Amino acid sequence: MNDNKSKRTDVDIASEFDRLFDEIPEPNTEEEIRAFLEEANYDVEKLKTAGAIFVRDLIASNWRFANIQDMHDVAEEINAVPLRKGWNRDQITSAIKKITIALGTTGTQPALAFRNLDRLSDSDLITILQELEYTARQNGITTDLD
Amino acid sequence: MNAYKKQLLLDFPWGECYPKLVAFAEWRIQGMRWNSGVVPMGHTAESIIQEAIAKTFSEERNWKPEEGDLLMWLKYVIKSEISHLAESITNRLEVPLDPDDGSDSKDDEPEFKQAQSSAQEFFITSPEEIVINAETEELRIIDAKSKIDALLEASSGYPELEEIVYTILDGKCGPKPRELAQILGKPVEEIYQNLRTLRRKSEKIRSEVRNER
Repeated sequence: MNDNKSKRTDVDIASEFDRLFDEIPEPNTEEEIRAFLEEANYDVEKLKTAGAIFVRDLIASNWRFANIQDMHDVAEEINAVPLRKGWNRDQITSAIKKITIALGTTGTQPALAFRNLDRLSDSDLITILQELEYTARQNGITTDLD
Repeated sequence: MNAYKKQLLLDFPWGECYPKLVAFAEWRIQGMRWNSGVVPMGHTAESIIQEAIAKTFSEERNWKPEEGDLLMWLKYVIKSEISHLAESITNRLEVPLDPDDGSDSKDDEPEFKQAQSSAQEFFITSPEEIVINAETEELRIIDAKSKIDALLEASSGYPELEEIVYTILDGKCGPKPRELAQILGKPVEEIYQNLRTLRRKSEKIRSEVRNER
C-alpha cells in the first residue's frame, strides 16, 4: 500500500466504491438478465406474463389498434338506435343522467361523466343519448325512456 | 400512426422482452443516487416501463422505426424517465459525495478550472459560507461512513462479497472491475454479478437504516 492510499479518508473510500459501481455494465445475456432479476426478487416467468397482459390490454383500449371494419360495424349499430329528435332539452338531459347512473351500477363509466351537459348543444345531447342507449343495450340494461 | 409501425408494435415479442426492460430499468435505478433510498413518487421499475410503453403506443413519445429498433427505443425512453425522476425536486436533497466525480463537465475544461482557482485566491470566504461548507463536509463524512458500514454489513458472511469490499478498503486495487477480477483471479463477469449483488444489498441496508430514523 502506498502513502496516498494509507491516507484515504472515508469519503475517498466511499467514492471509490461509487466509481466501482458505476462501472457495472447493463446485464445483457439471457443468463445475466435472469440472474440479475432473480437476485432482485423478480420471477422472470411472471414478468413475461405480466408484460404480455399489460400490452394486450393497452392494445385493446387503444382505438388506433381497432379493426376498421369492426369500427364501421359498431358505428352502424349505433346509428340504428333512433335519435330522440322530438324531445326537449330537459327530457334529453334527464334520460342521459338516468342511463349514466344505470351504467355506473354495472361498472361502466361513460366518457361523458365529467362533461358539463349544460354547455352542449341540443344536437350534441341527442347524439350522446343515442350512443348511451346503444351502450346500455350492449350491457344488457333495459331503459324505459318513452 | 402508420400501418407499418402499428404492425411492428403488434408483432413485437412483448412477453419475451418485458423482463429485459425490467432488468434495464432496475440497473439504471440502482445506478442512481436516490435521496430517500427509493425512486420518488412511488415509482418502480415496472411502473416506469409501463409508462414508457403506454407513451409509445399513444405516440406521446414518438418512436420512428427507421431510427432504431423498438427495444432500443424503449430503453432510451426508460433511461430518460429515470433521469427526470432523479433530477426531480423530490430527489434534489442528495448531498454529493464526490463533487469532482462523474458528469461534471468542468473537468474537461482545464482552462476554465485554472481561471476559476486563480480567481478564488482573491476572495475571502464569508463566515456564513464557512459554516455551510463545514456542515456540508460533515454530511459528506456521515454519508460516507454509512455507505461503508452498509457495504461491510452487506458482505458479511458472503466470502465472494467480502473479498471485494476488503480489497477496495485495503487500497489493494483501484475502482476498476477488471483490475479487481485480475487481483482476485476471477472472471470479470463474475465480479460484475457480485458487484450488482453487493450494491443491491448495501442500498437495501441503507434504505432500512433511513426508514428507521
